[in-house]
Amino acid sequence: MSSVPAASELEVVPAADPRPTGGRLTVHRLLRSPSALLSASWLAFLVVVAVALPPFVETAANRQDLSLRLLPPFSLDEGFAFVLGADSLGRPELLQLVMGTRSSLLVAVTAVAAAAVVGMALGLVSGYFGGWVDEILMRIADVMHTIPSLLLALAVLYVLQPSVGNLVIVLAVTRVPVYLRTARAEALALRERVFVESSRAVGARDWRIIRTDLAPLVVPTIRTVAMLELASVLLAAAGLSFLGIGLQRPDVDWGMMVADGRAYLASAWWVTVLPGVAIVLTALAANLLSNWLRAAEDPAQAARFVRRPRGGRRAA
Amino acid sequence: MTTLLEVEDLRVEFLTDAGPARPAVNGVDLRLGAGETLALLGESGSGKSVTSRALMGLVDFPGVVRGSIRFDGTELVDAPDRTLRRVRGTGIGMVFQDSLDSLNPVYTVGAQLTEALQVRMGMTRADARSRSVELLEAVGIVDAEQRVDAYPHQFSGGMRQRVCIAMAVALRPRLLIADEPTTALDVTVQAGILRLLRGLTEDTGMAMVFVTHDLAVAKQVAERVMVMFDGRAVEEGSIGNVFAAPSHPYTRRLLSAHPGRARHWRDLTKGEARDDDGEETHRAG
Amino acid sequence: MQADQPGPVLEVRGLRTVFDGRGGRETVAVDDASFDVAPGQCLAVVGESGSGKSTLARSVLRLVEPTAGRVRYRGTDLTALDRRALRPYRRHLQMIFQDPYASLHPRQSVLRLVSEPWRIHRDLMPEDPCARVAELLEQVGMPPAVIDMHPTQLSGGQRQRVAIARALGLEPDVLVLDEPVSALDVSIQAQVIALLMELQQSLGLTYLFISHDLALVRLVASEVIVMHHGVFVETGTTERVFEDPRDEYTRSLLAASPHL
Ligand SMILES: Nc1ncnc2c1ncn2[C@@H]1O[C@H](COP(=O)(O)OP(=O)(O)OP(=O)(O)O)[C@@H](O)[C@H]1O
Ligand SMILES: Nc1ncnc2c1ncn2[C@@H]1O[C@H](COP(=O)(O)OP(=O)(O)OP(=O)(O)O)[C@@H](O)[C@H]1O
Ligand SMILES: [Mg+2]
Ligand SMILES: [Mg+2]
Repeated sequence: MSSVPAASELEVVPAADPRPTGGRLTVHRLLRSPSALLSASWLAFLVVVAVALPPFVETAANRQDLSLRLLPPFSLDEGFAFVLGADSLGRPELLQLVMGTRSSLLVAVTAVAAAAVVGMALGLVSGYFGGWVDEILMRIADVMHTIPSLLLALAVLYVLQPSVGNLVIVLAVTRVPVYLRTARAEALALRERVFVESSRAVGARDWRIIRTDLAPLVVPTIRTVAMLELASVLLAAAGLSFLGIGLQRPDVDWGMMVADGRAYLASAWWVTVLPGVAIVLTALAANLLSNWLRAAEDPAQAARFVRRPRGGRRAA
Repeated sequence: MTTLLEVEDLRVEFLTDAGPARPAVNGVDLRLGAGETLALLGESGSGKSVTSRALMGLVDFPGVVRGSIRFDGTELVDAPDRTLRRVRGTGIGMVFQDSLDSLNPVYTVGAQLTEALQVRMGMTRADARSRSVELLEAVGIVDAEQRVDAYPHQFSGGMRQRVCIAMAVALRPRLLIADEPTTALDVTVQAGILRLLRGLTEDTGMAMVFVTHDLAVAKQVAERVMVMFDGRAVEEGSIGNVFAAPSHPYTRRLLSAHPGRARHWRDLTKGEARDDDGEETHRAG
Repeated sequence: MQADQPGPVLEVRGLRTVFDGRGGRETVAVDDASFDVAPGQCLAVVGESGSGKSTLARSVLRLVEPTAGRVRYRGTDLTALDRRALRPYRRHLQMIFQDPYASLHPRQSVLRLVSEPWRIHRDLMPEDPCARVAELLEQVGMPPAVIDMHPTQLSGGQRQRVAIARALGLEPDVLVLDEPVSALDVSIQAQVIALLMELQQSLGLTYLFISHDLALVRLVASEVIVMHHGVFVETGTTERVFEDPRDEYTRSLLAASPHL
């Protein structure tokens, strides 16, 4: 093959200007949006805290000293650990918050990740195959949407043992429909695209098409939705812990800290307010970052498909 | 004749991490009155689609638009979203180049048409529906009454392209930008579409920018032609003059590569070999 | 390639494809289509928009299931095979789609796009996939530098070449070309057509060439089928159909061809 007629196209034509690729452009834009940058920094800070500190502070965090009961914050008299005061059993508030960060993030992130993976897989299958598979999955999703998820979680955790594992499972299961719907909507549109038919023409099976053709295109949307979900799952987990059916001592998370402090709200506000602030800030950051991600990466699509149940906001 | 569209020194560049890329549109001037049609010709990558999208205010970040686009006296460059939304659809309509892939696959064709008619033209549901059927008939879809409830993937390639045309003209825009709207159509159906569009320009005074690479088509719809090369307008004038005496090598190549003029497939690429030098020097500059 | 084997490569008999519509209404997209394609031939199918050309192509490849009829590929009845048994045959019959902007996966690199089919037909997986991809790219007139690029970075003509390289990687026997150049600029159209014709000669490929562009068909095809509303209204050698059209519809089609 020497006489290929390619003369003028042999050099890479200018039409091939490499467009800025997703990752680098995203970082570039992140630097231009103060609120998104701040949110991302806050979340990154929490992750570092949750990963690095707990092994060093665990014992100190759970040491009770009744003499320091409800110690007010902002004084270094008892050492840096007590700078944010102490709770009703004299445990250092700052270290409790550190331990709480780990549990809260662990529960929320694991639940969100599990729900996202399962929901996306089911959604792709549902949208791609259609038919009775779709019919059944969508009916289940509908039913789950009509039952308030907090109520469902309450019921399940009441029957099962409240534990980290069960908490994650309950939170994940109740959130699966969100991803299922999103992924299904995208799969419905994608399955009619020509490149899917092109894959079929070279002999690809359905599973392969779902895995290699559809999934990579759905992941960005799912990622954006997951970031948004992080906020609501965090709140839901806090709510369950607040009700006493989430984590159990000696584990601690922010919701539980709020619950422990509420008896002393009038006399020792910091025991309740500080973990409350942590919850609100983190949920807010996740929300802001998600909105920004949606606008930055995927102008048209994403949250259009995330339907909130009629009951309005969920837990907490 | 009053000027409907006035474009001055339009420039579009796309930012990359390594700074701005070569401008995709580099100083285009354009003027169009009501009822007039301009054919926009040019090779692949010369900036025809970017120009069209800029006219609709549809160049998004990382694209940056400079210069001036005045539509009926309203400046569109850097205009607020509210202004653009008002102008789009009823002011300026557009048929996109990738129309084979641009309908929403999840809704029926009728749903997409009626929605636009209800929201933008304030029609009742029933009116919008019967108007949709009329529009589909106008673009030559047989059995339109039934077809209106079909999904885009149940249409053939050319039918989908015609649906896009129907959607664009449904809102009776005063300016239609058609970006290669008939590539998937055979001559008979294409002739019908071109007649329809010409009829609209004559009867309703709709102005049209018709992007194409097919000279025979350009000749059928437009009286004026503008040839783009590398983001610039390199040739402009009445169709007859430009075709009779093309001054730019690309225009000559376009003419010679038309299969209607060749006797053997080998003839198709001949004109190109001859003009390669001219093109290379132009690009380097 | 088994080009020396006698008889047609493709034998289509009584092919019929019906789509169900709303309320029991049916669309007969292809009705009673019968034709043979000889090895190394270029058979063109022309017809107006919506006449069933793409459906015919997709039914032959069983990308849609035909309602009735037989498609024989070198003696094997493809319509009688179940989906699993059909899969190994897919590599012999490849398809190039009309819109190169839509037919390549937007997130895959050229390397991935061209090598993906080998992961399905594992026996074709070359020792060094990268080198083989580069070789195929060269065959379609593309520089090896594009191997890491994504379709969004390529022009329409370049994308169509990638699609052709992807199909050639399976060493097919028959290429079904569904309007392979109609979305392309005429000068690039000319290059892609020239490429396809060169490949046909050097590799002995058989083409089923679908197009609405009569001027183009006249240049590339040896035989032509004219379709109208799902049925074949005229078949014959290109010369005969163009010089002496017998059917009313063919005549109107030819008459409507614009001239410069
Ligand atoms: N979103 C984008 N980001 C970066 N570059 C772009 C973008 N869109 C277009 N370009 C570049 O702008 C230039 C002009 O492209 P345009 O699509 O206008 O060409 P065209 O004349 O319409 O060609 P064709 O006939 O192939 O449609 C090309 O070099 C292209 O790579
Ligand atoms: N999946 C489908 N479901 C229902 N009807 C379909 C489907 N695919 C095609 N059709 C119908 O079959 C007929 C033939 O379509 P086909 O795509 O084969 O036309 P075509 O000759 O390729 O036209 P074009 O030149 O416009 O691409 C059309 O009426 C079309 O609406
Ligand atoms: Mg374009
Ligand atoms: Mg077709």
